[in-house]
Amino acid sequence: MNALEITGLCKRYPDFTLDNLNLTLPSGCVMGLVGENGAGKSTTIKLILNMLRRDAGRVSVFGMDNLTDDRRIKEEVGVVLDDVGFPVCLTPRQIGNVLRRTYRSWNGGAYARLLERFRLPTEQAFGTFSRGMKMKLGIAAALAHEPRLLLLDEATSGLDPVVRDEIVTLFGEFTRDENHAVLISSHIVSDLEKICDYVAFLHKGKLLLCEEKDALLEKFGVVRGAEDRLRALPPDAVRGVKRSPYGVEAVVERAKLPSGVSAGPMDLEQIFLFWIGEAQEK
Amino acid sequence: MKGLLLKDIYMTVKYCRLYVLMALIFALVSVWSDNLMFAAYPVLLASAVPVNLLAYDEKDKWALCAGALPVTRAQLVSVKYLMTLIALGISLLFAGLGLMVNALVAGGAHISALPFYLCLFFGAGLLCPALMLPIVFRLGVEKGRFVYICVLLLFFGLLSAAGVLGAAMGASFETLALSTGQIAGLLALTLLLCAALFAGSWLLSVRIYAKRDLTF
Repeated sequence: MNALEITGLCKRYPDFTLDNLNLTLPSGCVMGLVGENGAGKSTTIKLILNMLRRDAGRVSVFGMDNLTDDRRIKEEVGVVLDDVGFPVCLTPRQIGNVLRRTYRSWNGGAYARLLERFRLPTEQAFGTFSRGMKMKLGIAAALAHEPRLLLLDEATSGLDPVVRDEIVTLFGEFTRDENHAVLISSHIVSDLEKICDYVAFLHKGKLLLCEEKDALLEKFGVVRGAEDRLRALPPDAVRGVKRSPYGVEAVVERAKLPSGVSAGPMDLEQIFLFWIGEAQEK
Repeated sequence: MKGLLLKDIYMTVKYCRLYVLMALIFALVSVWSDNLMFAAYPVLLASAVPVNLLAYDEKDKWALCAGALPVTRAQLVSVKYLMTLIALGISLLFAGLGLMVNALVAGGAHISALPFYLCLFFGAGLLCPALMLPIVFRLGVEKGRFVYICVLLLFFGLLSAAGVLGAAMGASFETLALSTGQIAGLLALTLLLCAALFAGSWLLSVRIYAKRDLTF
């Protein structure tokens, strides 16, 4: 079963439109939503959660429609947004008390273990926490009702590398269960590269591509060298060229390269920047 | 809904301690003063509690968190109306105790007028949130506060009227027994109107909030 299916999703604002978004996230997978600020990542997540009213399209979570089965879906979904949104005067213990009376499947033991694992004080007001601590508490709260789908919106942004690594590890543990899935948006592409099975590139409200990460990394490579070397490449293999005083960098499709010509690896961030560059040229 | 209520109770206990202290002081002052303002003040404070809670929610971006919880938008709205009734109930207890002791000990307004005052306070206490909350749910707290100031002026107008009426009742208490039925009718009508307004406000807020985007 697919954890998430988005079909023809649209949301129009005076200065921004999320345009005809189609995404499918199979259970057991992690999908990264990559895009610059204002690309539509948060809008997409808020539309999945019905925080925003959509103009067109359909969203289903584990086969349930997000409009008609809103509460059932939210029992199955753990959410961490850029702003965690807990009242600043509440302590983690009080937040746990509130959520215990909100979620049917709240697991107080799991919550306590996560607080301990993250070394979070139970009696300190949320407002006094650092950003990293706030995010950790948000993640503990999101996981303690034993969700099957995690929606994470910039959950690692603004955090130091140690905390980011700790959190990314936890997400990795979550997805060991093949019934679990994660949709994570971030502009820190290196974090996504560590855990994602699929990546979706959003740019100005449009989906540029949605592919398996490994296939994408396999598909593209980079050829560096002088201008002569570039001219020797088949034109249909070259997807983009970047010139600098130090030489030429060409993004190429490996499958179209002649034998004997090898391309170096590209990371997800380089591929993303290349696609964004192409989209802007168009 | 229980979780939402608990969260608002935690916040009220944290942020509204000063309100309780002030309500106590005003209730105590009302024991020695015949000025209804002192007895009414706790009710006035209580009527501001739900909007204050919404202001804190807005500042904390609670809507983003609440939007991800398995609760309906109607519940998110209803809990503020419930908190209004709880806060008003507690404040009326203060006001009632103050007026009762005033009547029994200090020889102030007669005890038979107590239900009238309390009903009037309750009605006035409902009026302010009833008018404000739909606007706050539609436009946010800042614009809601503007309406609050307008309602405050109305409240003081009602209070002055109550003072005049109370004085008249005190002056001609012996004849009051003759018009008990009229007073009871007036009370019932006042309460009915305020309750209807409050219920209408709740329904309107639910409708408004169901349609809006949760952006803060």
